[in-house]
Amino acid sequence: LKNNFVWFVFSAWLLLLAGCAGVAPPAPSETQPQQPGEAAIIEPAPKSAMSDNRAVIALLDRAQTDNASGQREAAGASLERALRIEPRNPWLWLELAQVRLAQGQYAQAITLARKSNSFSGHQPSVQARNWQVIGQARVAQGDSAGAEQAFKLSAELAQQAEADHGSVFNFQ
Amino acid sequence: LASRLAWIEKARKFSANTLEGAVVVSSTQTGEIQAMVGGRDARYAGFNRAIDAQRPIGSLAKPIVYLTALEDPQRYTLITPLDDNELVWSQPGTTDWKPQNYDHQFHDQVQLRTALELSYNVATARLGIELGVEHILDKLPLYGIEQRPPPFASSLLGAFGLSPVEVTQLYQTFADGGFRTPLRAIRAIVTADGKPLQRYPLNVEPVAPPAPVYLLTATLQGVVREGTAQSLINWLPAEMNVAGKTGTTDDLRDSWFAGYTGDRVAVVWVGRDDNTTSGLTGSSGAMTIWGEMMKNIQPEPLDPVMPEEIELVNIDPVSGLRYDDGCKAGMLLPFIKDSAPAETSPCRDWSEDVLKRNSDAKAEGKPEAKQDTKKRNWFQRLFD
Repeated sequence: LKNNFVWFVFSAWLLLLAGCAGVAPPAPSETQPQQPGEAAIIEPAPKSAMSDNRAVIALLDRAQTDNASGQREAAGASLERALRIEPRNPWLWLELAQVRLAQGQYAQAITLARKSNSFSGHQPSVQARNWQVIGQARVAQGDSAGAEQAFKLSAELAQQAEADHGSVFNFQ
Repeated sequence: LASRLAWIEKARKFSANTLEGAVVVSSTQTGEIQAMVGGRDARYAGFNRAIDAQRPIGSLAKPIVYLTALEDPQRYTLITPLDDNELVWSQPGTTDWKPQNYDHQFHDQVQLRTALELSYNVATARLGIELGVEHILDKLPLYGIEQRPPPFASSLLGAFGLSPVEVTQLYQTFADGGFRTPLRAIRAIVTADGKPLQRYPLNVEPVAPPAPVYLLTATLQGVVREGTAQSLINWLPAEMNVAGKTGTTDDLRDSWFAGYTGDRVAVVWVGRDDNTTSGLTGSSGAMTIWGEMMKNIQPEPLDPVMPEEIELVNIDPVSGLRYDDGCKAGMLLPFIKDSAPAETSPCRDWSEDVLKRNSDAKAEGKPEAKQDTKKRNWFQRLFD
């Protein structure tokens, strides 16, 4: 029970953080081309908003721990297990895209982020993060114009996500 | 599979244990093969028909032609009229080829979606020739089909052999909005103490843009709702919105059904190992097995996410024009933005006429299918 409470406080703190900081960089101006360094750090979304299935959340936890400690393959395997349970959960595809990005598999990261977008319906919060991943992968691929476009879209979607708080961060 | 094949043999007075079949079921989004049956004796370790049997796929190939067309929204939409009149295809070095429809009739002008729903060979062949046979065959590797059929128009109607697993790969790509995920049966190989030696991670490749694939899926749902697979309703309720395609080859040698729900792609083939006639069409053979099997595994309904480029437009089914917003009678059809007809048509009285006709037909207790044919004939007369 105590754990749950701590978890809730932590999630609420994350929500505040997400609300204040947003997930995207300031929109790049026309005259200043986007530099690789200008990509935003992708804030994790509260897990309660990502799934209401306990098994999926446990697998997500393990994937994030593994990913943070550099165990990319293991993280990918956990996410695939989660996807077996919820194959159309856009957050899981986003997480997998981030793992592939960290692995340096840029084309795969872009495809997975697109696939996440295809399941995202009207959730700008997940779409903003997907475009962030696409932008970062494009930077790594040397496509700076494409990256700039992606970051711009990401920033717009992040603004929408903030305006649309209630439905995006959904605590039950 | 075995019980269903035995049932068909009994019902049709075929000699027992002569039909063969194969089944493949995979997950739509992750490409994992969830079930595979290589023949009546599922545990037989020799010839696995699901992998090894290369059989002509017939009409299962048609969606490739239509997807290629729909990728050009300025030329083709779901209501573009196609010509289903007699066609002779000549190519130096080959004999002339005159495709026939299954009902041995020609249907003049038909809408693109109707031509696929009712699996018209002539309209499909002409469409494919218009698009370029080579151009279409060039796309096969994208969908995971490695062999290259001969560059004849008959290839567009599926006069080339594929294994059930290859067909599953093809339909997986349609089911997953144009993302191809190579099918896998093994996730990882581990040592005796559980350490992974080799992983086969999920791999996804975008091979077709999402909007045309969405239109294709809508049409394949039409195949089940009002086309060649409408008797699937005997197994799965209409709310499932199953998308599927029947396939039948010359002399009823091969009976195929490929289809998908929200979470699964499945392909069934029925035929005979000696390649003699099975006496079954796609809908009377393979589809009944598909329906029975899917009913038992309780699939999720198919509700593909609508890509942003798609808009729903209310269309007058007769003129193919856009209806005024106030009209309640039209058909709501998906279009890629800016490809829907711009001209509007006023609301018409005829719609009430059709409603009346339909209610008359119902009052007479005519079955659903009859009603459809009646409606279609009436449409055709208008086209004449």
